[in-house]
Amino acid sequence: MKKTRQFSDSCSSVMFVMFVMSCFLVLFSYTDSLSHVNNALRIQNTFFSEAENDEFEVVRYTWKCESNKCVRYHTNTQEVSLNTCNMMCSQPSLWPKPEKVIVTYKNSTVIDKTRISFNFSTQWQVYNMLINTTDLFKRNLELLKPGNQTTPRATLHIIISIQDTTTDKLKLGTNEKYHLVVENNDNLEAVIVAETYFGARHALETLSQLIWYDDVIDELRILHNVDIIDSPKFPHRGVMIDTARNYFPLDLIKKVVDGMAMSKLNVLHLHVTDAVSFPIVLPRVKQLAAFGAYGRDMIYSPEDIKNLVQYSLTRGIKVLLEVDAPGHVNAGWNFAGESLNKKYVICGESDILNGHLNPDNDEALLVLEDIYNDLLELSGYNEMFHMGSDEVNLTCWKGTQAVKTKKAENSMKQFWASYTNQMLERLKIANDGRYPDHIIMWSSPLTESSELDTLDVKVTIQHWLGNPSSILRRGHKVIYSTVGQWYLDCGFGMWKPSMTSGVCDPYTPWQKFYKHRPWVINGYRELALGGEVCLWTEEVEVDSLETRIWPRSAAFAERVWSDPDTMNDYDVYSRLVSFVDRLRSRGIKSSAMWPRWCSQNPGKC
Amino acid sequence: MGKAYLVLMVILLCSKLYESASNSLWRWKCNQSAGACTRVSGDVDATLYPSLETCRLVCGTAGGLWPQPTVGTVLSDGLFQFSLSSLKFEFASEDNDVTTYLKEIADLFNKTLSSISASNCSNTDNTVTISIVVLTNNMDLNWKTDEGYNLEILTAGKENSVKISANTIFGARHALETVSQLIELFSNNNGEVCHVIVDEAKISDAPNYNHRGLLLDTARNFLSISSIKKHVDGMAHSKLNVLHWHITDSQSFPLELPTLPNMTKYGAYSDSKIYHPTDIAELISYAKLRGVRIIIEIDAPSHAGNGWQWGPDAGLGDLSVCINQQPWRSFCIQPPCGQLNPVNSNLYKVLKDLYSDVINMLPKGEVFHMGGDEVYIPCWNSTPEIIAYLGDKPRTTETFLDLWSDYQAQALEAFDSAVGNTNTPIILWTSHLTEVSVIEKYLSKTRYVIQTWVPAADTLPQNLLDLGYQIIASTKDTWYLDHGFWGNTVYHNWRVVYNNKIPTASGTLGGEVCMWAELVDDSSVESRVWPRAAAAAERLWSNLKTNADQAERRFYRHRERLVSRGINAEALTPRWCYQNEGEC
Repeated sequence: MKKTRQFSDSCSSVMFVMFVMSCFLVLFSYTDSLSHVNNALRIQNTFFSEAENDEFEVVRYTWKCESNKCVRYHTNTQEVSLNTCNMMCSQPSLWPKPEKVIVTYKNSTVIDKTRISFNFSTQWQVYNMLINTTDLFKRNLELLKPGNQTTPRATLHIIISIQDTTTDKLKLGTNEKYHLVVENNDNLEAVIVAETYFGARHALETLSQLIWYDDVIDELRILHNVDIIDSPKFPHRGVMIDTARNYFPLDLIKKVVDGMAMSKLNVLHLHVTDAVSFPIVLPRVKQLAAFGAYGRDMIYSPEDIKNLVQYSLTRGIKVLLEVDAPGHVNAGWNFAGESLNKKYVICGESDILNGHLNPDNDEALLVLEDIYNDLLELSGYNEMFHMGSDEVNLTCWKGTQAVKTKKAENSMKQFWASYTNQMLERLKIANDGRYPDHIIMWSSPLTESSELDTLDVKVTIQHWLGNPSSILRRGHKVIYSTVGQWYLDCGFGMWKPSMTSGVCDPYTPWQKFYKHRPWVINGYRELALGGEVCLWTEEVEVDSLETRIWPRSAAFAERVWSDPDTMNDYDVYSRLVSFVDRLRSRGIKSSAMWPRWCSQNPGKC
Repeated sequence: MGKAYLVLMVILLCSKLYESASNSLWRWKCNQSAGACTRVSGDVDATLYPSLETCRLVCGTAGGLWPQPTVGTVLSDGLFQFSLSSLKFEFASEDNDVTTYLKEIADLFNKTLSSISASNCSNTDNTVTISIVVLTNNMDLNWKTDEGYNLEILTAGKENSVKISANTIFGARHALETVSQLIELFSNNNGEVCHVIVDEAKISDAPNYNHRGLLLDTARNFLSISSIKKHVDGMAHSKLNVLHWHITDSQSFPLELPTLPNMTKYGAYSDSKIYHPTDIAELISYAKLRGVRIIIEIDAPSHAGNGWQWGPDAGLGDLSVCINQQPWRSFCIQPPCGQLNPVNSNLYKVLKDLYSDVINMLPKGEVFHMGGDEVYIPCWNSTPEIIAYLGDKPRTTETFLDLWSDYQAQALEAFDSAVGNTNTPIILWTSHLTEVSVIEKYLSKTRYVIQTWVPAADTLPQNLLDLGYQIIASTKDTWYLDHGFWGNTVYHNWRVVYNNKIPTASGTLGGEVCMWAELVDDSSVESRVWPRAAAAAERLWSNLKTNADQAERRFYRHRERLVSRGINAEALTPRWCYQNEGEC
């Protein structure tokens, strides 16, 4: 390490600076292949070897592009960094893969991180959002840790044009398409053309991935003569986090949002409550959190949620808040009293996990309406609404008066459907008398049965278990969260002694997340809104939230953004490894994909 | 006695409660017969504890202690409130090194317990005095070290005294660890946060096994020194005492050797991913203060590739063969390939230098791990130099095993000549050489300790014991912490780790959980290891007849303790199950 410091000292000497500058003149006057880059850099190496001849224990590798693959070589002095080789050698390391990338010349220029100019109109309604995004763009360059940049480098001019300058909310139909051109003719220019703010934001994300840190020269480089046209294959690209089984502080959730923004994911679905805890403070029913949160420091205040919603929107992400019902309720609910008809939740006393809304107490539905009102207000968004409806245990309801009264003419499933209709009615009232466009429910025996047709609304199904064919046949829209493919929590064994095995073991590696294409397996491609990866958190807390999510959610992100037909191992592995390094450069923790040797020797593992 | 000091908060149920969304309405009640703390709300009751943590301190036979003491544990259910600033230490030992060590562990003890939230405690009348008596001056931590201790806590009026006696400083350190687990934060009626200690206790404790280890692999992926220190912290809190450092492998050679700078030059991932001799020295003393010794493994002759490429340029020929050879499946079981070249006599000169450098970094007499696993014969069998050396010999498995054992004999000779004696214990993994039918032909039972890595059902550990070998058990299908993320392996959760029982015959030095690092680096290694390594720690320290279900409450508490002490231990259950003992 000491040796490195000497190395950079010599870098700062005047002679060195002049030399490197002249190198770049040579380097960047060539515009075709990497072999020229190598030639140019070799002159520079002579200089290094003379200066550093006796520094023998310093590790030095260089990468050469051979048959479109980067090959590691040993050298006494570095020549080409792995990052540079990866960007210049085959496909540039972009994740998720854009629809169309045309690189006319493989060429790069060193840029000045302090001189990034932006050009867009102050008149636009989305001006402030753009300002936030461009600030983020600059901060992210800072995080790539380039050197002190004492000498002039190229200024990057970024010109943004947006056709619809008023759309500041992300909806299912929002156009996320963008066109990005980076050229270095008279000026180094990145031109972004997008229909909406959200497309422009994605373009900046892509642009930031065309810039990389070159550790050989301790500078930032940008790839240019690039033309990218890009848009997502699916409009709903989500990560679901369960904040009820275990609690996660807001700042940590924001870090997940950061990683999602980098991956062009656009839905953060918070399964915010469950039977075991109720951490969200809802203004109309504060008692739920008062009695249901794990601790006073384990809550989300209304301000927290509003803050998260805005933070996410700037990053091209909408927040879906799910308070699961009529099952998966318990903690916090029975604040009202002890007598049976006053209980909002029943069946939860012997088994915390088995609480259900009490059909004999109509007030439970009124509480639900208050909850819906608060959720709609806090998320500032009502195009989609998630009602939960997961894993209702019908035996719980069997003993209730409501069931006994109706049982003569109805099956239990019919009862479930009629109760769901009552819930839908409360949602409608909360949403100013009209149903949200997309009401989402988890797949269940109800959604798989013909009773699905008796619901008052054609609901959207978040499909996790079983065969979705009957749902699709009935023409319902689907969001895929296939267990065993897109579940982030599986593989850690049983968490309570009474279980004989983990619910959804084994662990799902990122390759499976990448390859899963439920719309190909099940057909009805037009009904697929997209997908969500799900992190249930019985065995996850602060310590491992991020490493459970990354890099697997990134692998999923390319599936729902690009939906590639094939998987070229070399291409996918090397781009994903570069992306993981980028996640880490922005402070996001990601699990290791393999021994580092495999990153340094692309295609050799 | 004790109950007099039990300070409890009065619960005021008022409308304010809803506003603040706090959970301060909960209290915990200890049901001593079930050993369970139960969450209750509402009533004001003198037998309630204000937090689960304070209830757990005293509830059940071993409270919240981890690992459970072995000889005897008596805990009162009373708590003595104090401020950390009124806690004093007394040392009886005259010996300088011993006293220095005790002072340092006392500082660590204070650091572990100090908390920003407890800075407002104004209770300075109550005092706690911890007196430590160490009966020997022995400063060495090895397989013979007596780590036992006796601990007594008494309270008289405003004075609480903790008396520790142990044969060695390491026993005293473990005793202090136990004391730290008898102390919790406590919010009193005055709105202050103080500490409480169990007011009366008597504990007598000693480990079942003397080798209680965690293997860290820093070659597949590099781990920073600060990450390794976190593991040492976790080990100290769980009374594990061996960090087995699998420091090199075929992927990388991150250990800087003063005599052989080419090893890192050719083998480190980058110049920031190197362990310098100063790092090693610092880590060894860091670990010693935490009751942990470090055993270095340089795996050979297999698992040795990157780092060994420089032989030809230095005029020494191929020190290792098949390095990075492709297609790798033909030459090794995991990329990149590399296996030392046993027929190159220069190799043994280099090995002697290598061993010399490593020995210089270690305490005198420390054992050494030579690896010795997974030699892949097709590599040697495809190397012209080796084929030529074998001449007319039939290239059978036995021929190659003989070649391998020749290598092992010469490597041992190189080690002995570097260390200057012939009795340093050497550890080897089980392999073809350690099979019951051949081990006595190849490996001396007085020199080698065998680390077994076979499944629980395999009889090899017992068979080796029967032959008179000493073993260290790393049960593959329960104590391999990397399982569950590759191939057909399954994750071994803490219950499986805990329930693994290893042979009890005296030849069993102990066991190790193994963290192979193909799929972990700094970002996830802590949560992969912890708290599961702590489950093995109780197996190795206490070796209770009962299984994980009986240990659940203490273990859940220990996981929280690890987290509060800065270790990213993975979650075990929804927090509700932690807060409601025995109800999940």
